Amino acid sequence: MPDQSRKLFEVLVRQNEASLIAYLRTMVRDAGLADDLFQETLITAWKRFEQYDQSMPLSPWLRGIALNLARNAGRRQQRECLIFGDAIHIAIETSIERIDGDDWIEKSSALSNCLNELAPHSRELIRRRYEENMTASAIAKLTQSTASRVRKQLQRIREALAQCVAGKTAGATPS
Amino acid sequence: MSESPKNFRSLKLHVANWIDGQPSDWTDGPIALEDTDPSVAGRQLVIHSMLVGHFESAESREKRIQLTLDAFDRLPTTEPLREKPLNRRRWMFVATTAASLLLAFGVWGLIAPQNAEAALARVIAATQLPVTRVYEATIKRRVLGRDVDRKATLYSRSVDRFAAEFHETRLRPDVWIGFDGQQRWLEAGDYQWSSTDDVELPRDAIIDRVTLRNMQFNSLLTEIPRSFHVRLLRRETLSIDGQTYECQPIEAIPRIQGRGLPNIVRIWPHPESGVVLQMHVINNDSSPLGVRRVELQLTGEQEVPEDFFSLESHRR
Repeated sequence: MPDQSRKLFEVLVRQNEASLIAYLRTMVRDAGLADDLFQETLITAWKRFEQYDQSMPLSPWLRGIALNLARNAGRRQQRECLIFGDAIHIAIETSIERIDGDDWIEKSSALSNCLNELAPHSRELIRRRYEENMTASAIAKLTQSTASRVRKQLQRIREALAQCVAGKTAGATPS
Repeated sequence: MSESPKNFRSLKLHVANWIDGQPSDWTDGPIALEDTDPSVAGRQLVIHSMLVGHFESAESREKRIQLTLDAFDRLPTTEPLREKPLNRRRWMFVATTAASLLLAFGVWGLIAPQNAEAALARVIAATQLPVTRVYEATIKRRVLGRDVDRKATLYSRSVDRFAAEFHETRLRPDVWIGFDGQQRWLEAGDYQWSSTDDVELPRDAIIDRVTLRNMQFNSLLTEIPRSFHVRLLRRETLSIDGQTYECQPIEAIPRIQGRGLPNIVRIWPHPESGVVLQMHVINNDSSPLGVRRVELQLTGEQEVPEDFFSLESHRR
């Protein structure tokens, strides 16, 4: 049974890795802390599995555990965790639910397509921000702009991407 | 936790700074958002986290998974040693949890996983078993404008050991290639070669780096979670030697093309055990020596001597 338990746990981890870490990153800035919470969430879920209502989807239950753990971490490391109100939580849940489901990777490939459809300047801005991990201030210095202007541009691009992903996933059919 | 318009304004600013700033930026003046709707902030956070994931390396992802699995492995032993009844209770807990998961995911081994990653995890788990499986391999190439198929019998064992016998070669007697866990080797009667480095492969009509890598398909499978996107294809009936299997194939496509990875890998796992019944590895058209496609089909399991995968056991 231990071997089989480990295989089952691996299924639990791999099946939920992408969506769970994405959820944690909406609240936690620090990559290491997000990874720690990811690990803690799945271990806690495993230990408490008897409490899981199997008639309900698994992902929201995992997110509930992750949220509690992130809130606890937020009390200890306030600068690394975002504590926000119910309205934002509902918005995140709605947004995540829309792109969650049984095939997160397929849905996140919509993001890949949407990135390809961006104008070259926007794509370059996203690349600097996310691939090179530059802050808005650093990009502003490089492009002789201002940090607030870069932030606004990034917000507009993300909003466009959100609309694009929602449009593509709404029309997707399961394979 | 309820939000008045007033504290929502400060929250809104926090979200904007949160995503693109750094702690020192948070003392900056207010930055106006274009939308005051909380759903905009929610969407921003979700797309932001997806973008972080999109640009994250496959190695980081796999490291996160491995660290979590390591934490699981430590679970029973990190606890201080206690009296027997408590230990028994722990194993009872593990068994109960496993049973609950069986119900949640469907009965393990009887119902196919609903998710490509889970299906792949089961395939990989099946390759870890100390069993030698025998596959009929077809290497399809296009040489000088015509298709050339070459047949081989592949013996594959956990995790990366293999030996493959190529039949009906025109220039040489039957040729064996293999990997014993430490070195790759080739045996062609009057010619032997072995190396721990696949860069030094000889220029031979039979063996090339792509073929060698494709024959070592268990290693390719373990590479998939790190470097490929995976998805489930439609269920289909696979017929092998008169037996039919209801399979749900897995398709893997590299996250980034090139880097010596095949263009597409398709796997037909056994619906109950996850053992690879059939696998197609489709390489770049421009791949060395025109190796375009390797097709594997399971013919059975076979007991072989421990040294079967070494060059020594195949010397003539």
